[in-house]
Amino acid sequence: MLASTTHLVRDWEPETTGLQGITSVDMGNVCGRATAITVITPIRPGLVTLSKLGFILPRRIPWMTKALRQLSFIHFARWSLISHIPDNGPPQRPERPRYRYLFFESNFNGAWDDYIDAFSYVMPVRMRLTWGSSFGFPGAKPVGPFKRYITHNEFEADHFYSAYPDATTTMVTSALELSQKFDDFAAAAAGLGSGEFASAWRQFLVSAQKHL
Amino acid sequence: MTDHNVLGRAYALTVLTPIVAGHEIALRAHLRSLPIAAESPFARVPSTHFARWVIVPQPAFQGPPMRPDPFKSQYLVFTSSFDGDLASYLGDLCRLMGDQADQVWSHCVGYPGSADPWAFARYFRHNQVDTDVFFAAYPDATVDQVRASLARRDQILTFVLETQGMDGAELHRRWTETFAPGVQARQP
Repeated sequence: MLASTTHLVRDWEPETTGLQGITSVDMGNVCGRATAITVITPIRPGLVTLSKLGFILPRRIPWMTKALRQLSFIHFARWSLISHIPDNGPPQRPERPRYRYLFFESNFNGAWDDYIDAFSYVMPVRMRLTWGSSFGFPGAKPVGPFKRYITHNEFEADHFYSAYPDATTTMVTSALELSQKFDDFAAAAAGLGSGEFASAWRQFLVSAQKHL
Repeated sequence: MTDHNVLGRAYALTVLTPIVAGHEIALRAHLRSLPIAAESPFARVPSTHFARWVIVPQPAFQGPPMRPDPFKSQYLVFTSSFDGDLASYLGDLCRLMGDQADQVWSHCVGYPGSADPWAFARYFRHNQVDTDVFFAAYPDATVDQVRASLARRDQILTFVLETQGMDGAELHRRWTETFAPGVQARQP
C-alpha cells in the first residue's frame, strides 16, 4: 500500500474510506465515515521555543502546508499550545502544571492506521517539528513506535459530531468545485438553442468528469 | 495581529473546563448516551462542521525524565470547527442548544447556565485555548454550502444517468425542467 513517498505526496488517500479496516480507533471517535483523533502530550522544558517553531514554520513555508493539504482525507485539524489552565475559582483547585502541553485534534475520513501511516511517511520532518519537543516522542519513522506513542497519548471522544457524516474530504472538495463549475455552465447556457446546449453540456461533462 | 483560530470563514474553537469533583462518571455517562449524527445536540447549531466532547482525566505519563504532573481536576475538552465568527457561534450555542449545553456543562466548575447569554459567552471565552495552527481542507465553504454542493453533485449524477442517449431537444427540455430556474443551489 505504501509504495513510494512520491506517490503518497502527490495524491494520498487511504484505500479504506468507510468504517471497515479501523483497527486502532474507539467507536466514540467515529461518526459515519468521519474519525476523530485527540492527542495531548507534555512538552520538555526548554523546548517550548522549538514547539512554537513547529507552529510558525508551516505558516511561512508553503510546502509544509501543501503536504498536509495533499493528505486528502483531512477535513479539519488543529494544534494548540496549552500554556496555562484557566482558573474558574473554587471548587476548582488552581492548576500549576509543571509542563506545557501540546493539544492536537483531527477530523478525517478513513482508518486510524492509514492516517498515522500517512503522517509518518509523508511528513516525517513536520512530525518531528511538531512533536519533537514532547517527552517520549520516538520519531515519525519507523511507524510502529510512532503509533504506540500516539495511542499512549490519545483520548477517546465521548461524543463526536459531523454535519455530513457520509461525505469524505475528497467528496466535499470535489462537490464544491463541481457546483462552481455547474453554476458557471448554467449561466453560460442560458439562452442557448437545443443543439448548442447539447454540445455545451458534453463539454461541461468532460471538464467536470473528475468530479462525477 | 493574526487570529490563528481563523482560516478563511472557518473558526477553530477549543474550550477546556474543569469538571466538578465527583461528577466525572455522570458526565461521561451523559455524553455517551447522547444520540449522534443528525440527532446530536450539535446538529441544532447549523454552522457546526465538526464538534466533540472529550473527558481528559489526566495527561499520560511518559516515564523518566518526565516527572509526574497530575492535574488537580479532570477536564472536559470541547472543540468545534464552524463557519462564522465566535460571538455569533456562542450566541447560537446558547440559543439553539442551551438546554443540552446546561445538561453537559452543569457538571463543570463555574458554568453560569444558558439563561444569561452574556455570562454563557464569557465562560467559554474565559476557558478558551487559542489555536496555534489550524488546517481546513475547504476553509471558505460554509456548512450550508457543503451540504448544498453534495446534494447538487448527487442531482447531477442522477441527471447524467437518466439522460444518456437523449437527443439535443429532449436533453435541453429535461435540463430546463430539472435545474432551471433553481440552478443557484450554492449559498451566497
